[in-house]
Amino acid sequence: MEALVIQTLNGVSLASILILTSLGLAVIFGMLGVVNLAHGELFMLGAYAVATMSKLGLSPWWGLLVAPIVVGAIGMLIERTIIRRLYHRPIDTLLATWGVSIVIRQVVRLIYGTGHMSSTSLMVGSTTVFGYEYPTYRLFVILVTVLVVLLTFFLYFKTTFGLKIRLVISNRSMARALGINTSKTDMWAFGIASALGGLAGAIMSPLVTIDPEMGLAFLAKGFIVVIVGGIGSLYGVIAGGAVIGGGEAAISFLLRPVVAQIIIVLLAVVIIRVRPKGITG
Amino acid sequence: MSKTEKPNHLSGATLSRRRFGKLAVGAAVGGTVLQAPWIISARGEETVKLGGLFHMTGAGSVWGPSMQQCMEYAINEINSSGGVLGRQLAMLAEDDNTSPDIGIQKSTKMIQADGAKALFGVVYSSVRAAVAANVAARFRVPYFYPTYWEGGTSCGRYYVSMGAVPNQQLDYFIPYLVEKFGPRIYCVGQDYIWPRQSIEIVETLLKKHGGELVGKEFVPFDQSDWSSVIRRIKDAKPDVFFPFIGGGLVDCIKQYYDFGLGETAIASTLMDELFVPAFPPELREGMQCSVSYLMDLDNPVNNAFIAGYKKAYGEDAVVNNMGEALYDSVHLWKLATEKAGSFDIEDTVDALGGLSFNAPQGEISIQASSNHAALHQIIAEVRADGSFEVIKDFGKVEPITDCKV
Amino acid sequence: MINNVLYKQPKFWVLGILFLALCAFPQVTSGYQTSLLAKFLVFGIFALSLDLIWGYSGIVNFGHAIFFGAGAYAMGIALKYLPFAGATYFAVIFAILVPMLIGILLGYFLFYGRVGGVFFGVVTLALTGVVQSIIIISSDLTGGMNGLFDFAPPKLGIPGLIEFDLYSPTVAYYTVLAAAIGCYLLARYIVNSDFGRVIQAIREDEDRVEYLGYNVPFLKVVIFAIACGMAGFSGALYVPLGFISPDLLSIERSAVVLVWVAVGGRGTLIGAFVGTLAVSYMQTFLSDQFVVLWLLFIGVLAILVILIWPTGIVGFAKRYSLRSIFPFKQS
Repeated sequence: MEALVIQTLNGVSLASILILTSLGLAVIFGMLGVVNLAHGELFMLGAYAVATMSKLGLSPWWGLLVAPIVVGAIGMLIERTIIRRLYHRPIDTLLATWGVSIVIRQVVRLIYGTGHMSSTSLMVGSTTVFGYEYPTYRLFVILVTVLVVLLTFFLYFKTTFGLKIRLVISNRSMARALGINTSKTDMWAFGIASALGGLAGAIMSPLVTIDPEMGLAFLAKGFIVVIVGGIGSLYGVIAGGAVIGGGEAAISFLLRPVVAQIIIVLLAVVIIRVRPKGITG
Repeated sequence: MSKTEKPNHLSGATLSRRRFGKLAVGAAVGGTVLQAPWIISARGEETVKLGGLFHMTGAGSVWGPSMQQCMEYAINEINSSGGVLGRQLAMLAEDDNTSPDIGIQKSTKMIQADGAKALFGVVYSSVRAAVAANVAARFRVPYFYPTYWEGGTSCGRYYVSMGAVPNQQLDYFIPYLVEKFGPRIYCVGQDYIWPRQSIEIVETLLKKHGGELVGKEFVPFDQSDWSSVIRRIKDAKPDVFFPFIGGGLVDCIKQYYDFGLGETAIASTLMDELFVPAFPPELREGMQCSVSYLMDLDNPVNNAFIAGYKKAYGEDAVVNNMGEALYDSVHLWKLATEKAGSFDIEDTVDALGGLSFNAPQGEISIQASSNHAALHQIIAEVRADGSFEVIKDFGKVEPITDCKV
Repeated sequence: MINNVLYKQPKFWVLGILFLALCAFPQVTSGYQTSLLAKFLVFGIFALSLDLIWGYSGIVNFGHAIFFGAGAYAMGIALKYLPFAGATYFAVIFAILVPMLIGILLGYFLFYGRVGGVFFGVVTLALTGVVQSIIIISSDLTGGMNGLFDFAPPKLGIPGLIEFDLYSPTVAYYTVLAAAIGCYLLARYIVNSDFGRVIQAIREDEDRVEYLGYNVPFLKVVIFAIACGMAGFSGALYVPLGFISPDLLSIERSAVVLVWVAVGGRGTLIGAFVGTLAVSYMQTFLSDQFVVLWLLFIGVLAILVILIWPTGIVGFAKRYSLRSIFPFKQS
């Protein structure tokens, strides 16, 4: 019983982490049609924000507040200077964001040095769930993910801004004809997605290595989540995260973890043959 | 270091230093990274060139800068005490982008275009294998590899292993762990050859010393969530958790700590001065490690080495076992060249076997049959402030390897 | 007739001089420079194979390094397990067929699943990591993390009579040069054939081609398989010049080949070589000069080129006065 409860919680927390880290990626892709290869670097910047706070002797919680704001602002800057010119050339955005990812990584190296960074833990200890001990911080990650997802959904479906974005997605020229400043919605959409990436990095910072290359692994994971779940829908991210998180937690019981991971991605490709738009498509 | 003769193409690098100087303010390593003298030269054409290949960019860039400094330091030291056979040394330094492809390109360039007499450096095993097989062996130039590794996969007349192979890290460490913490050990490794061979040796040693490997598993390289692995470790209730995980070690330990370590101790052969800053103080305190060198060693050679190194690169400058091995490598090359009495590469290689050098870690020597260095095995515990408390130096341990020169 | 062409078309003169210069290259430069140019020409073939699908059929393969790597590994493994003389030829065939087969399988699932556009790129990107994992864990066959290196040296010529060691820079260079010209001519033949025209029509409007009665997914699988085979061939040629390791299948390598094609100009074939040589030499130059900062410069350059030169070097040349020099079809 203990194994079942703990492993279920592990699956849920892994799914939350995956959803949190790939939400921004999916938002940018779904809304703007941009494959953002620099998303991993935005994630990395979020983690560096927390580490910087720790280094300055401030509470790492400040990092959690600063990360989305700073990274969101950086995202908007990237959108204004580079992405905006490339919306009609989706493949080129991919190459340009690859360039951006290199630039961010190298600039971080120049500023912080090439070594590892660390941050003080945000929360220690464990909480009793269904009679079993589980790390408080992981429960916190699950909670944050639920809140972030709800907030994103609220923003997308219940606010005027969300309405504008949905209109821009379904018919850009019509939206413009109706007097919507599409360039502004694009910028904000990119900024919000970047802020999500930064927040994810900040939240994950106590659990992962902090160095300039840390974003790459999460980028690859994020893409797998996006293809399994289906592209362009927010539900897709949740479904993809749940399938991969749950699947990995369940299969790694039985198989070598590497094999489990390979099987999941290959399954995703087979699923595409049957359901070309992903599970939710 | 003399700057009397500065090659023309370096002017660009100097300019970039000025332009990017502002960016690097406050940078711990950045400042040293941007220093221009990749090539130290003096007295024109008489210099003898040694090539350094470093991970300055890419996944291994944590290690590149300190290795480069160690090589530069050794060369400066040799030059200021009169050079080798009356000639001054010049250092070539190239970045391999932590990629075998660029690694081969740059080391070939250093040998064929610049005339390097020997190659030094590299951490990543794929880059090492590439340089050893496709450059050192093909162009017949000695290559000194300063990083701990599995042993056996690269081998040959021109390949010099200056890093510890598994038995040099584990022979005394395992019995020590069994005695101090208890017989039950759990190993986790990334799914490739170094962890697999190391864990095999752990298993053999445990059997010999009355311990027990209560679990072992292998994880993918990009493993980022360790909850399932940690649950299995906790279920096995080991006395010691012994990971063989390169990049993912920090994630694993951070998450393990989050789940609660309980009574389990952590032992690692990877912990060194460059890895320690990745862990918050509460996590690193009490970690057990086995390495061939530590900055905190107290002996006259090391004290002089550290004092000189800090004088050259600042109070915060860091050396780890790989950096020290690189420093030793340059000195061993010098000894071999002096023993051979000429700069002929074949003579130098012939002279290498059996040489010994009084290194900062203590006396080391080159096993003549394999060109692998016999290194010290030092067991230490990490303190909360990131320094190491040396528990015991077991002295020089001969490498056990199938490699025959 | 031929005289007439030479007289009217200065591009034939330019091509002739270029060809002679390429032939003379190893005679006038060092072994290092020769093997460097040979390696870049191999990368050029790799980029050419990407241009075939990206530039002409609109398939965005963001995991093209998979096929380059698969070719190199197939070559290495075949050389290791086929101990007889002349094994190099079999190994090369193997190195073309294996990536082709992977391409057909992948194409079947994705093209018949109607996955197109950027989404195809995302799927192939995710697959890169998977193939890399497979290679790392099958270390008995592939050498794992360390890479594959203990195989018999590849040799050309007639076994027993006259043999050329491909490890010699000069032999490797001329082999690669011949292969590059051959691949370029093959690619030109393909895009100018009827099949090539349909492929280009698919790029312009997939639905319309479908309405005309063509089996679009099938055609896409065919051109994809050809490109994958060519990528595998370039991977095989890379073996004597570089090193077989999981690094060959990295996301970075997949990204950089897209950059080569984009810089050279997509949909021009010759642009693949122009872009590869320009970027690779630029990278070599920068990394020789700036041991640390070069990567930053490469990132900035990639962004600038994409912003400023959307059509790449050849596209730029096409628009301006160099019209007559580049051997492209005016379309």
